[in-house]
Amino acid sequence: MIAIVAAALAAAAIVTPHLLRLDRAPAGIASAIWLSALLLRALAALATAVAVEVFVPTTGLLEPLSDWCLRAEGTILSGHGAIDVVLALPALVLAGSLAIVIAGLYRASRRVQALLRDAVIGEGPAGSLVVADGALLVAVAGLRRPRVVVSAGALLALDDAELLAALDHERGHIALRHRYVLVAGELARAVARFLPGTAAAARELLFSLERDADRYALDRRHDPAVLASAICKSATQAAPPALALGGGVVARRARLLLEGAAPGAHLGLIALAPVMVALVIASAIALPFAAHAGYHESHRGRVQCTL
Amino acid sequence: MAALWRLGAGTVEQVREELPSRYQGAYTTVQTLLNRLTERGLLERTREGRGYVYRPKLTEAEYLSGSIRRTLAGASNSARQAALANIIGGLRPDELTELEELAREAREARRP
Repeated sequence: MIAIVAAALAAAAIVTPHLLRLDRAPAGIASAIWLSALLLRALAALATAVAVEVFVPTTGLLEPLSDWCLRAEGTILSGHGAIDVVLALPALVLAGSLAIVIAGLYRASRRVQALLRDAVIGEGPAGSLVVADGALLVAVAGLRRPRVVVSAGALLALDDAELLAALDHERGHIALRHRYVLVAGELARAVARFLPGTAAAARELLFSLERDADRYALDRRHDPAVLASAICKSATQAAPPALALGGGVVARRARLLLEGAAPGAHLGLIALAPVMVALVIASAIALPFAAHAGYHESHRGRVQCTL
Repeated sequence: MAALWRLGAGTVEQVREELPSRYQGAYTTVQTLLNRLTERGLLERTREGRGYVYRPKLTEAEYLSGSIRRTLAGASNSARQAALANIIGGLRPDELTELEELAREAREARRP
């Protein structure tokens, strides 16, 4: 009964952000909600893998495989049969997906470091680094020691006001530590990629982080129209597909900037963020205990495979 | 930049003479532009005699190299975004038309 209530609560928390209009919510609140939703999705995927291992044996569906044993004496597979392999598959798929994403993040990080090592020609405005390339790029590079990088193309294409607004937007990403949120969101997306709606949740997280950095720039007295102009110029003059990152959030951001200040967020929306965070923490603590208890319950009396 | 790439290095007057006639503005206009490019880190400036000589800090080949594109090629979109968060964030090809319209609106909103 407790498990059903917990599952219903988690499902409601996962679906709710998709039903709300978070575009006008404070960007920090929206980021917390979308990151929590992604983490809950990852925990739900893990819980599903655990449930397969715990409950499928009780259904008797895998009985035809009970006579198949692995010939792997002296290894960790010794004493296990085909049933164990089938039951471990969901967890192995999730682990594989996570490993691929971690390797991708590492590779991308190394490539960005190589770009900074090989293509930087010196210091640019406001402490940025100038990359010798005609493509239009203003970005934060690096995870451990992030720096704002700006390409020669951007320095030639953006006017003074646009360049300063774009640089403050990127400084916002650094000051608000968005890189950690992006990495956490990416890892959660890797684990939850098989749940419907995960890609949309990841896109909304990216959108709210960009909005948060926009707000940081606007707090430094930049004109929203100037920032919108810099965004539009960057997006239309960058060289897609090389810089076509993710999908579908640029025009929405520019439109929000041009439409002006957002009305105050509803109190219930603001209260949702701590509730979601609390749910993530409670689920992360409860899942290992539930898995442990369920595993022992379902494996009680089960005989090991013998050759 | 194109004029300086052709010259290798030059004074304000030399750069001005190198520009096509329709772009040859006043001496001070060219000087302001060169100083702005120096402040932005694209040129370096050394004093020679009574004036300054400006040199590009990157070659035309480097400018056209596509080093960003080549370096990041092969990295997945989301991994790239985590390692190199940029102002664009995420862009769909079908957004370009809408963005051009928004760029026009932004230009109009900026007019005093």
